[in-house]
Amino acid sequence: MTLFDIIALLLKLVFVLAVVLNAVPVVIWFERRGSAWMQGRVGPNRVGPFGLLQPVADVIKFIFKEDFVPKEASKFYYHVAPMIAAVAPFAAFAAIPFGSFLAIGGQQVPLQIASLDIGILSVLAFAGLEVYPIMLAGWASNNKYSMFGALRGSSQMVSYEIALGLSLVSMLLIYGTLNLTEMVVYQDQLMFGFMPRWGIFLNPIAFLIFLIAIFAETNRLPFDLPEGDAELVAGYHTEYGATKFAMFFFAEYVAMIMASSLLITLFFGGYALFPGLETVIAGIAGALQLSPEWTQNIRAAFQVAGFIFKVGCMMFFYVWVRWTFPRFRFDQLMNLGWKILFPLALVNLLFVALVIAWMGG
Amino acid sequence: MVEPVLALLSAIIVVLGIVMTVAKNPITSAFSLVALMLTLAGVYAAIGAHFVAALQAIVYAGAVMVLFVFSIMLLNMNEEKSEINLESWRTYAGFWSVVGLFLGLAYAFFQWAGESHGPRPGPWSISAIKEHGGNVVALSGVLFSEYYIQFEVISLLLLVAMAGALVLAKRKVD
Repeated sequence: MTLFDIIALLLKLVFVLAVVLNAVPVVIWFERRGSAWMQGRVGPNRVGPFGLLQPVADVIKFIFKEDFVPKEASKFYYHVAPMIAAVAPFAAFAAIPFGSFLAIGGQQVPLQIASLDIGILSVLAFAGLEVYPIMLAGWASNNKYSMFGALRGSSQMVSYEIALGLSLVSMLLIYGTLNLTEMVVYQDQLMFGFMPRWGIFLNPIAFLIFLIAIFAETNRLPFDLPEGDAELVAGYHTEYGATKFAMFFFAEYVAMIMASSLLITLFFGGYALFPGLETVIAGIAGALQLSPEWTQNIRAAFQVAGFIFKVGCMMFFYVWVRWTFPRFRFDQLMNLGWKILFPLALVNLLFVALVIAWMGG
Repeated sequence: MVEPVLALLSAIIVVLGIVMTVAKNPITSAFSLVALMLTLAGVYAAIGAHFVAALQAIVYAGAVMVLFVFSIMLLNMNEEKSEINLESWRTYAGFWSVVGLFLGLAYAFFQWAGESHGPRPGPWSISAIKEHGGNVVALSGVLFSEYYIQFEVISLLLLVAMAGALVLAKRKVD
């Protein structure tokens, strides 16, 4: 590893961390304003322009609150749980490509922290750890509501992981690779001359199953039973306050951004440019007389912006769903997971496998 | 570059294994096992076997151990009371037989290492795997050709185990 590689790696780490960290307050602001808009309210609009500084005020409030620990709680695990919650989804970002590459001084810098052959598996491995903080928090709080929240959360996440995994397998059959960058390259082409070859058009059923499953995995409405305010106070984080609650809150949004990035990469072409943007880039390069190297850098900037835009749309969808659908009952949730999504994913997988075999691999 | 990392990870694994065995709280045991599995995945990743590392993390840390922790929570196990009775001959017999077994294994291991001078390389060296197109391609190629029958037999075995668990756990309805 040369010095150039190490510096590039560090800069990429800082970039991803900074973008995700700064996206969270924006998403929280958007959730509050968006919910108000959907419910015909005004929403927080006093702190800063359009209430944009509201999340800052919230964070300051959380930091200055009393750091309370319940008397009967298991101290060590009570403190560790929010830390795992905040770290695990970040680790999953490492394998997600957010652009093709930058050309700097004759060297190529891939816009991805770790370009692994098994990218998708490493994302799943870290995302799979998100179930532990919920279980730990619920168990360590020594509170019946927390415990119920933890049990619900873990059984829900384990159940929906199966449907998620099977829908993923059908996509892997289509792409024929575990490498996320290669998946994006596969999708960066046109079908029938006008349609981008995105996963959602190739395998819409897998997309639907994956979408529903990530709602369950990130504990968002209509599947937010682990928190279920109406029944369980606040579920697994009932006993948490101040900064530790803020960490859970923050972790939920990071997990949502991570899940959206994975969904975008698998089904919406990842960083692949929208059709037609290539001519725009060629136009800019022609007008400014750019070298091929700088044209590539401009393309990469467009790709990163496009990726962030797509993830933003997905976050809007999250908010939209949250304030549109009521919460499921727990038996309905389990029925949907095991009796509808799981068989559907299996049949879809079989269908995709047959089609691919028929088309000759 | 790799050896110090491996040594560090192995040391962590040993410590976590000891914590898992001696911890009185079942949750502590379970979570040290989770951490142990993840560190083991780290060992695989450090020697370049990324695929096995990911599977180790997904299957053991992400699935099997979740069920372990889940059942510990459901059964509401409490802290274990120390049951070592220093006056019973069984304690001493157990202790010395474990020590004897360990010494025997260590002797056999060093004997073996002295004879064959370390591991013998198989056909799948790192360069051969790279030539083949990576871990996943190489492994699946072998799994679905040379070891296909064994692979299918294992899946049949898992199916039988699943059916058996269902039969055993099913409620008897008169």
